[in-house]
Amino acid sequence: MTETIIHVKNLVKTYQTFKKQPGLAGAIKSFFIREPVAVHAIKATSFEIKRGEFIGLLGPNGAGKTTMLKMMTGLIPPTSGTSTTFGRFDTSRRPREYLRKIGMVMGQRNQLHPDLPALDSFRLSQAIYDIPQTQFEARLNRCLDLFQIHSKLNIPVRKLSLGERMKMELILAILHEPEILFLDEPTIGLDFSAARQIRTFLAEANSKFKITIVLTSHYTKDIEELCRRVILINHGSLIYDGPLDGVDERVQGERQVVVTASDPKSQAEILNVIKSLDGVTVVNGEPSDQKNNLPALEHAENLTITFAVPARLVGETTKKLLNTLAASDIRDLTISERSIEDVFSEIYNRAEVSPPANLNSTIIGGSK
Amino acid sequence: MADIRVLIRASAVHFGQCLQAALMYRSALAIFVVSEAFAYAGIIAFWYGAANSNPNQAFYKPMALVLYFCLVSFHHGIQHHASSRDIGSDIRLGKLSYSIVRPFPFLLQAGLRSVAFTLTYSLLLAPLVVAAFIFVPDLWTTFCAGILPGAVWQYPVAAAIGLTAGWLVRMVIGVLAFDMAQIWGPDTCFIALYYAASGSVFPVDLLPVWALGIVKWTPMYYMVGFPVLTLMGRLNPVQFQTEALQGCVVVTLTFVILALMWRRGIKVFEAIGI
Amino acid sequence: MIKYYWNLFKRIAVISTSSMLMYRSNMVFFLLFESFFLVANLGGLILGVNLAGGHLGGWSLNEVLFVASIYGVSHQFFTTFFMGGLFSVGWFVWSGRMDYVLLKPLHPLISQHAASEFIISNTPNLLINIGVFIIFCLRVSDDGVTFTFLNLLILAAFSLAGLAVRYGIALVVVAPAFLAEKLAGGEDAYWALTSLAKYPTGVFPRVMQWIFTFLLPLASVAAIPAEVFFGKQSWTSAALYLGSALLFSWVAVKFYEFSASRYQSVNSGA
Repeated sequence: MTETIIHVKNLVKTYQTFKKQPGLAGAIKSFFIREPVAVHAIKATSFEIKRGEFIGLLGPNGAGKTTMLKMMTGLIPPTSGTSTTFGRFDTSRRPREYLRKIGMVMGQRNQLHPDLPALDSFRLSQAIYDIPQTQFEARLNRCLDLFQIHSKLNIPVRKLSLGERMKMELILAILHEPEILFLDEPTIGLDFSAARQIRTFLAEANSKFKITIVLTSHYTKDIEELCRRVILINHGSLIYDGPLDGVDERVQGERQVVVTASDPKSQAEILNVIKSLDGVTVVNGEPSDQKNNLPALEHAENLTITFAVPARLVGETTKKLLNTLAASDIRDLTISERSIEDVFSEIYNRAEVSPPANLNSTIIGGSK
Repeated sequence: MADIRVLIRASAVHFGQCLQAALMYRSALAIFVVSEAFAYAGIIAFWYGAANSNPNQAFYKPMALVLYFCLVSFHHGIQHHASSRDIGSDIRLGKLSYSIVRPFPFLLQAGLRSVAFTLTYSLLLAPLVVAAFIFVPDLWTTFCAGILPGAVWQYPVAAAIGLTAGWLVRMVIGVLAFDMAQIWGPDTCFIALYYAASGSVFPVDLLPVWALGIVKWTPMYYMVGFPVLTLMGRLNPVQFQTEALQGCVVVTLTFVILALMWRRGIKVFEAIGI
Repeated sequence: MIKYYWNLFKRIAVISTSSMLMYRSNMVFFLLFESFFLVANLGGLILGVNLAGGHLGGWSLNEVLFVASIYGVSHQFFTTFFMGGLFSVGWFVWSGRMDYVLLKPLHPLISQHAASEFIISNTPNLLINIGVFIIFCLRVSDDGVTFTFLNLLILAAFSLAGLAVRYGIALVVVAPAFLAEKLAGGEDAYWALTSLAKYPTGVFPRVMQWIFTFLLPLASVAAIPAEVFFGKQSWTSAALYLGSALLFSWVAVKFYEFSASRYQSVNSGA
């Protein structure tokens, strides 16, 4: 049985900030009197992470993902609740033994010395974590091989591109062989190629070095390629915790069908046929099918008609369509899964419409 | 004419926002005021003790030294703003790029920011000076005994020269950022020169004549020493006029240096941020 | 453990030196800065003591300048080894870089110094001030003060306690950065407060003497080491002053640790 490496129990985080009226008068007023405002960043959240897992911690901007991540690392103390790692460390106390076992990379912040080559920062890390020389060299060479950036090792960090800098930050974070790696948007702002290299690196770190990784990212590629399990947070509450492919299933997975007609007359005929089918939504900008309560999809441009249909009905719907229409009416037909962004967007919208408890009953459970 | 109106309006809005920014961080203001009051209390104690130990000297009576440093603490405090470093970081970190593509001059913004901070510190420090006049015995009578009738118009002139000199010098240091990655080196040199020449840590007119002659050709003298000595009536009308004229020359030269450095710097500006 | 910290110290020194060599002009600027600063400090003291007729509060001009020279060495030592780390706390907190500092398996203060630099560019100034100190040692020895190994050792010990007080004052002014939204001016407060340490304590009124000895032991930076060295203090008083200096420094470290435990991080940094 794989051990639980991170245990979060009823974690709550509330910030105090203050309201300020705009303008100079407001500034003078708030110099003397301030109205405190409590911001509930995280509300009573619990979950466990096993050793070796690769977790995506997801949510819209302002959901509380980074706050949650920072509480797990021990950077910020919770208002209440506990975050325990390795079965014995209370992360809010930041015990040194625990800090030796973790690494962190924040995509929007650097820890490398900007004026010096990355190698100098690596050597400092070697001194801090007391890494033996042979181990240090072996690990460093391995990482450099993975990223193919040997030539950048002796160039001042501020002269490196963003992608190169991020690779160096990642190497710095795992040089001391942490058992847990926390990543806060590591691929932000990177080009496709650099982001892909980083994903390959992280996948290898997880599979070969057995590092447990907790990742926050807005890039669906990161999540799809790396995360086997996702934790979704919105408005400080946990709204889903389970396998990635379980997310789509839970939101009544559906398929998107795009039909391109041969001519306007054919388009009108196809539209009529589609409207008569069960379980189908929007056609060419018409209101969504209220019965199925599915959102409106993009309407047709030119001779294209787009509609959505539940996955279980795809075969039946397509057969009906092809049986009813002449082959000459249809120039093209494509069927695809809903993009993961659409799926997450739907989940976030539902979480805003329904309280998290109701949503949990339909979204969460069963797959852990 | 319309352009000037727009510029004036933009300046007013920007100035208001700089004031807002200055008022936002109360702890920083509190630390500054408390520490400066503490430091000057110590300096005053030292100089008061020095003058008191030697009743035979007539150059500075003990209470005159207390008055000197009370006024110095105010003038030193209102000049306190790291505007050179703000300008330097705006240049190095790319904010200048935005300013260049807008019809609102960068140096005007920097100047308004300095004025906003001066006003903020003036409002904070003025009550302390007033409190000193109320609670320190004989301070007010010493002040009244020394001040000359012409101070009503002399002091505003001296203060204007001093404030302008201070703002311009800091801008000159700030625009060094076109050529240097870090300007805190020249900035700290300026601070040291300021302490040596401004009269903020010792009465500047205690310097030997030859040293005072040199100091009067630096902007630092006009930032603190000149307006304080004017207010205390330690400059007769002829001395005041000579030094005011000298101050105007120094301010003009500083402005010319700033203009030249700016023009040169903007040509080599690479618009690189980090 | 000693080897670990020695290795860490060496690594920080290497990084600091490498960084200094990239900005060679800083060395020149530091040298210029210190020269003018020395002139301002010593010049002001000379003017003050001359105004007082050559003696101030029982101290001769040479003795006053001796105190100032101890202050100068202590100031330069602080600037070279501690200023870079401590005065970047505010910026680190505001920008979020403190996240990385607090995640290192080190005491937050040591980690802070490791993440910053020693100001190696300032070492010439340290040497200059040591030279100035030697000059004033010779001047006071001309006045009849004797130098033995023991009293030099005592002077060094008390000066180290004074350095700890400096460090403590710096901690007290930068630690609020963890508690406030944005703290600017912390280092200005440090300079304003410690500038009083160059005066012999006897020149201040009794209330201020008490404050500067026990509450905010600025006197421990230079005046008390000099007094002990000149034999102007009894051993009991000296031990009391030493104790208050060390106690102040300990309280300052605890205050910093408390403040760091209240760190709230930022959501998106500069």
